[in-house]
Amino acid sequence: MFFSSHNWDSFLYQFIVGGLFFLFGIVMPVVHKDVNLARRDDRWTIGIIFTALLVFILSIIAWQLYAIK
Amino acid sequence: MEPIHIFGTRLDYVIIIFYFLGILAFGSIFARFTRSTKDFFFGNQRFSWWLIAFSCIATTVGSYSFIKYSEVGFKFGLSSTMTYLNDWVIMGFFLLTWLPIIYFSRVSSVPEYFERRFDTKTRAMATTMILIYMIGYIGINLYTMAVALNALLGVDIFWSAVAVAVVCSIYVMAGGQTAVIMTDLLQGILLLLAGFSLFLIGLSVLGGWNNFWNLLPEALRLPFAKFNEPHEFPFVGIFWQDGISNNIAAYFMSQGMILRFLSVKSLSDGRKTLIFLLFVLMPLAAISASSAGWLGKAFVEAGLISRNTPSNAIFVVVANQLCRPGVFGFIMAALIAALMSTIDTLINAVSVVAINDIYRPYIIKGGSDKHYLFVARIISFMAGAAGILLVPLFQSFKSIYVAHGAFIASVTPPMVVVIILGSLWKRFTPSAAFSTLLGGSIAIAFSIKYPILITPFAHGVAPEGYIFMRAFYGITVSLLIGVLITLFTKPKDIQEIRGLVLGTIDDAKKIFKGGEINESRGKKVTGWLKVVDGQRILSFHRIAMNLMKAQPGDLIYLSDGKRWLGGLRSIHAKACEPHEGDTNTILISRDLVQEGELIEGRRHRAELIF
Repeated sequence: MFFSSHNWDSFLYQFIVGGLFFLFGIVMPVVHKDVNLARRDDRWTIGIIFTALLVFILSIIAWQLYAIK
Repeated sequence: MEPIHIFGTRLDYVIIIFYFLGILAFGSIFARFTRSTKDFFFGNQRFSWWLIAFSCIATTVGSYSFIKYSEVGFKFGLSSTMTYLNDWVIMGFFLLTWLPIIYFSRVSSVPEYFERRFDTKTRAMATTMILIYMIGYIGINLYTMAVALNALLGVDIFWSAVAVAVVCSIYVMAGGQTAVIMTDLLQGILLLLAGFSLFLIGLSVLGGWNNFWNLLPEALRLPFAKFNEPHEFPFVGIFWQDGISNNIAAYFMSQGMILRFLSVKSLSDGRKTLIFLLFVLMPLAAISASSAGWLGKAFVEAGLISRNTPSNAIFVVVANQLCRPGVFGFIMAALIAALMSTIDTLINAVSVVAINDIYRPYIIKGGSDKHYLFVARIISFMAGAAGILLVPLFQSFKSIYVAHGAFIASVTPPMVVVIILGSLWKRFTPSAAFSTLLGGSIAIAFSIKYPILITPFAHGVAPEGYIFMRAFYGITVSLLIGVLITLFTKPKDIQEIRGLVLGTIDDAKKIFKGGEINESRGKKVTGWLKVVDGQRILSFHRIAMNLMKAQPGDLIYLSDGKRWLGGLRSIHAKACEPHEGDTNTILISRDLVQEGELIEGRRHRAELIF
């Protein structure tokens, strides 16, 4: 009931199922050494992707909480 | 209900006409930067990330976006932004695997990738599917824009489509990819500005943000829709149809988007483009395209417009409520911008596929580049004409949204699966790729005839919403076919697919450069060009080479010192042995100067690519 009351179920599905797709896309090239974290460019890319995604998720959470307050 | 016709003032018409002429002239200027098919198709891999990012947003926000997302925003509130805010899901795979593969392998089209990764048979199938996808898209875009022009200005639908198609075809014919990128930069900025202007004017009319927010029902303020209802807009349906299937199709399969990313000056700039696009421009575009619908809902609650206002007319009604003479023309120009920036990309993309996947390999082999460029221009015009011919066909559909959704969910899943497995799995075989395209399409056709097949994949969505869940069904079935056939067939030798699959990206870089790569990261240097006659040469002083950490033979990117040009005047070339002259002098041969449209005597910037 709680999950569906403010569409938290959609929120969780987006970030859990979507997050798995996202992580798969990051982990595979790292495992296969196409992305080498010893290289500055690759480190920058991974760092900025995760930072941007974190800011994005926090913004969505803030929006959700602001909407239901 | 009678169609709503808002006939603008003379000032509005003047603005719209000047906009059309201005874009035509602006796009045609770039004909001088187009000398070969490489320029025409790819813009010669020279542009900066910010320029391509704005250009991409103009393409992403299609002609129907303002109308469609305003309608969704009016009915379902702020969750209309979902489709713009779920692209991050496929970001890692695109940035770290697909982008390096297409960039370094220099594939000119997705079907060409299919031939190199699989075989000719798979390429032929992919070419057919992609051409259907793109020409259909041109027709849908022309039609939806013509409908909007008809509703707003009363112009005949067919002739509206003809006018827009002719203008787009002319400047694409003249300037190719460079013209597309530069005009889309302008149009991307314009359409964001127009959407925000409308939103801000609306907030002002309502008395500010707090009033607007309080007028919206709580359910319409949320960022996500309900999980599996209503059938018109269920979250889980949007997730699979748009977030997964459509996003992978748009970024991985859409020739237009691929050409944009092939136009950036380096892989690093391609990565910056996508990050900026997804986390900055897409949220802005979501607000720009949807806000008229949100305002419409607030206007209804405030009693400013009728509660019976049809949702598909809400953009028109809100624009009518808010626009003053001149502003209306500006909003219309933005709508036209959204259309033209999508159509021009598709027209250019059709010419790429037609030349590289049909004309060059099967009709005229070994022709001169000048010949192919000429034919590419003719095909650009024909693509616009083909789109126009499809307009009456789309007029016969009951709902363009339904036709569009069905089209995407039916065509894209098999291609999406083949691209993913082909680029991620070395073992994935040519037979499996072909079977996936064919079998996946047949399975989807069956699901249209027998929708009950989708029920196990429906997540509780009602049968009316299966149009969205068909994407999940199609992806799953295609995936199963691909994996099963792979297990019983022979894969290609790894040597044949180096640079085309995960785990071989470093090979792709070596092939791209034509030698060992230099991973050092030095500083950018500036200097003044000194043109020398004779053999092809690009030479820096030893100190400049040390600062860049470059060695003779390394690939260098040299561009005009004026950053706002975004790489329009630039070139990639290999560095020669350092010279012993003035520290700030860059010796360069005349052919390189002409190739990159560089200007002698002007300050230039150089950086090591690898």
